[in-house]
Amino acid sequence: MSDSALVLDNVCKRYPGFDLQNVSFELPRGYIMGFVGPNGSGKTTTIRMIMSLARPDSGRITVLSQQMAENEIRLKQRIGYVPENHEFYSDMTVAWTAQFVGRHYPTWSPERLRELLEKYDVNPRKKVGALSKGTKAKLAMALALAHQPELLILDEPTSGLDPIVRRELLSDLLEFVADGDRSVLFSTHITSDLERVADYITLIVDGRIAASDERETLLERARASNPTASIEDLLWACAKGGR
Amino acid sequence: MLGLIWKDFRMNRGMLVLPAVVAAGFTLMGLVVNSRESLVFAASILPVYSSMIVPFFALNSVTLEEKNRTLAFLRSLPMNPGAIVASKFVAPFLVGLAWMGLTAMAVAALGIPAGEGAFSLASAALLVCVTLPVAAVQLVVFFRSGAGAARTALLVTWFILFLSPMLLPGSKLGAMSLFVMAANLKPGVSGLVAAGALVVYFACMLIAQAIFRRREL
Repeated sequence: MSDSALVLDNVCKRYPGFDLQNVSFELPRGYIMGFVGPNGSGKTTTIRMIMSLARPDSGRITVLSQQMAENEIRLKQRIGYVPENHEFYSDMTVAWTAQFVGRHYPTWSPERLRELLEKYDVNPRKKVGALSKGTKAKLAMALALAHQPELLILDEPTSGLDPIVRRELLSDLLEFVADGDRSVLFSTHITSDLERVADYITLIVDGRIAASDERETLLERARASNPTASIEDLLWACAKGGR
Repeated sequence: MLGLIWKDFRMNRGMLVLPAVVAAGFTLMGLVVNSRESLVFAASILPVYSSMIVPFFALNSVTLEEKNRTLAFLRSLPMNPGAIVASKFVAPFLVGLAWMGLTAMAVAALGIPAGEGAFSLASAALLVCVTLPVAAVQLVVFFRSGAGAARTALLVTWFILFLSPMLLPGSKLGAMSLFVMAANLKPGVSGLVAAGALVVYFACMLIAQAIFRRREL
């Protein structure tokens, strides 16, 4: 079994007015990586390419030791994905949505889902359209975890959530990687979330990777010039052109 | 793909229930009422439904998908993108088949004699088949450009198919004469029209699948 849950190697993508250039980073198994950058820096585009929702112009994406482009369905069965916007059928109930999603995963556990919905206080009989943004985020998280994925990919999961829900979700991430074989990539621009849970941090600015390393290594490097530097300072320095 | 088709039926159940109620209502009327005029009037509504049900079911289905922004959700699940497209073609087609079955029941119950432009199962089947290319074009347009463009495509193809023959210079065709013509086509010609429509429908499905595989969400 390879040590990497996710490897991006010189991935490029060009849109009118925006370039993602030579994005490379590696997430080892058993760790949480925070993918951080300002709004519009390319976090969501990168995640969409990992999930095959967008095609890279060049470069390679290796997920759980396999090429995503060639093994899309099998790999997606091993990935839990929570998108930035929680898009479900608003007229359908939580229970129906869970049943619909569960059909596509051989490792789906209805018992696990029931536990998660209870824990998150999501009523399975409610229509998805009637749920608040925070509850939808919890539902998305429960759906992503109920098939016991090996890799969890979260696109700004804590954005717009109240501090209590945010803290709950972050503690779930720590619980998720506790067995040492599961990994998490989560994008955010809330740097305090990274300080709580991230083992690795990848900084992306203007479509380029500004830094990617263990959190403590990055902080040590930053603290060489500023003894009180935080991840936010690091992001600020990168965004303003420093390293 | 069965799950996707079932989901479309669930989500568009309103569009299924209404025609079923209409057909059942006509069937009941045929059994209860003896007035020939009212039966003919009731029967005239059947071809209207037959010419609408497939394209409008398809349009409603893709519009709901866009309204909920769920195409990206479906693409993020471990399923073949081709199956997502195929379900959007197969579900309306099955609805068309079910409608033909209901129509057959209604025609039998109403006791309308065949020929002379009278509505029959054959003409209902032909009308449903003729609308398949209309639905196919709008679905291709949806997977290329979204639901707004699909609505426009529906109106344009509808116009070309049903209205433009009446507007051709020197044409003496009216809606009724067109319908009578369609209702009295020879079986061989009807079969050819239906087969051609099916070929176009499923060829468009392949085109839409190719478009959707390349589309970024």
